[in-house]
Amino acid sequence: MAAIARRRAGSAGPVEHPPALIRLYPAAWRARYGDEFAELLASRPPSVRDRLDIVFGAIDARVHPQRDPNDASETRSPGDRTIRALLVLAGALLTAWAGLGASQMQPWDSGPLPASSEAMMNLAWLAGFLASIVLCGALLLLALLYDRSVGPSGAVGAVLLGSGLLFASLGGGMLALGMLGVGTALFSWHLRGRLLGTAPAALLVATTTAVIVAFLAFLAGGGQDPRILLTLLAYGPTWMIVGLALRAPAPLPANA
Amino acid sequence: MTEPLGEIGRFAEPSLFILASLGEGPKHGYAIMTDVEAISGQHLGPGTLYAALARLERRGLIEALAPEDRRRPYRLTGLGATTLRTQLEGLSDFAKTGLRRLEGAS
Repeated sequence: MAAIARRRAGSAGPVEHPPALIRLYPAAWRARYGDEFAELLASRPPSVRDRLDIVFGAIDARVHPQRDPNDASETRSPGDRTIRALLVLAGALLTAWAGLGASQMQPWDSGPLPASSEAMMNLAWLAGFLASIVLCGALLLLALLYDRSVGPSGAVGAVLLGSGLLFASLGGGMLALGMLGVGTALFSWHLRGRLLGTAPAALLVATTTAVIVAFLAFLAGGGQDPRILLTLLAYGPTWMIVGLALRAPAPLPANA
Repeated sequence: MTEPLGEIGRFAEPSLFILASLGEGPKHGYAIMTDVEAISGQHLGPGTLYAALARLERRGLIEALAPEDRRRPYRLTGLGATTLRTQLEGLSDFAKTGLRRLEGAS
């Protein structure tokens, strides 16, 4: 990919763009194979079948990255895998919670819920509560294992965020929202570039902010504002993305 | 000691084609793709080709040579050549046995 960029800068001919499909591959894969892969696609423009094959290849490269076992920076410890799995699980539970809640929500002023809806709402609450426990556990584990990589502020952010979520699921109100907001800001800022890319860190900040704002609007509207459901539906997938995007930790620079 | 290609899972067959193609000498991705089509009649998609190349390289069966412009040739390693020979001899024995049985039945 670097060669493509060089050609862009130095060539007087038509500007070459790396095929969009290559961007589906992880950055490490593109750094290793991107140039030659782009050259292959330039030599032989892909058919529809080839394009599909590239999409599956990109998924494979993300699910089964072929890493150099001698490169310590690319090894993933059992702790990494556990944290990633817990974050994805928590995200799935949060999604189930929001989805179940949204599907069973009655018109806002329609009176008491029927028994079946009440059972589903209880199930949704259970999923949300389990999600907050799993997420809290994952973030505490992250703070314990990677305090040197994310620094003390990042570790504090992880703890605040995890405990804020747990507190919120128990009806913690404004204090829980405050912990959630401050924890997310610290967590995202200190993990960005170390354990997380900028895009997933920004996504986490954006969806958490949307949840907090929607919750405040919900409270201000006397529990009549349905926009909170939309933000909650985005919050679970965000944690799944964060879990999948979490990478092996790099040590802090010596002067940090 | 050779590593069976079966451990590469669904990329075992494309990997064998690639090793067989590189048995002739170093080739880059496009040359491998066209050669595999010529020797096996199988179309190797770009995604499958590079998924198999990454696995073969990771297992030390092939190695990348210095890039020629944006093309990077690959060649068999000693382990790759031994693995290819073992695989092809196994297939040859299998084919001979199958043909012998077929002739015995007719």
